[in-house]
Amino acid sequence: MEVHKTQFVQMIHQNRGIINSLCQLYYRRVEDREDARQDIILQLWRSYPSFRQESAVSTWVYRVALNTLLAKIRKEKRCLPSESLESTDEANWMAIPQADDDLQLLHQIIQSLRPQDKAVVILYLEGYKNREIAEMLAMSPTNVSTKLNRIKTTLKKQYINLSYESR
Amino acid sequence: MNLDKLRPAWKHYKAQQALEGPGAEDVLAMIEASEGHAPVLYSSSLLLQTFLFLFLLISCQGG
Repeated sequence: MEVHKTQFVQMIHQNRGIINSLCQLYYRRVEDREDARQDIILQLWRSYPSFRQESAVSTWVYRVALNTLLAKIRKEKRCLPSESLESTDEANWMAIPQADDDLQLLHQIIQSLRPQDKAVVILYLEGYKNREIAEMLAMSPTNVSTKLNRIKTTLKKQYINLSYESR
Repeated sequence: MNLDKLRPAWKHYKAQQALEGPGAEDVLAMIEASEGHAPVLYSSSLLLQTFLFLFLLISCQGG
């Protein structure tokens, strides 16, 4: 059992970048992020015995973490309201001090999306195929494809004057 | 706006976030606390169900 725990702790350590990034992108308040992180870690711990290593560990972490966050948000119904890209205020940038332009843009884009769209974009940026994203989020591949196209079109419209024109 | 252009930024962001906790002790404390609470919850649930069963058993015996 102790070996089991040691392996689990090591796995969390190796994937803490994923877990922390997701909590940071879904919750603004530090206490909320810590709650979410604890929920994710406990859910991973509960699922750990059934993890059969058929997929990469990081894929399993993404799947459990995102589904835990989405379920938590649905349950609490107090997720941050989705903001339009234009209304994302200065305070958001404080979360990533001295970030370069692309990092700020990434943060701004993801913060502006609805919870499930966020998950789709994060997995897309991670390099997963639509079919894999669909499987991880229990959606149909067509739905993922439609969402991604819609998000890309919206971003194109909204950012055409905001970001790359200023470069 | 091409999302693919932001893939390096996402990698960078994750790397930044990996510098923060939780530490091994924090993770151990979380899982041990969750294990510590489980038997208590199980016991109280079992106790309640036993009580209800006995109540129903006694109530249904009348007559």
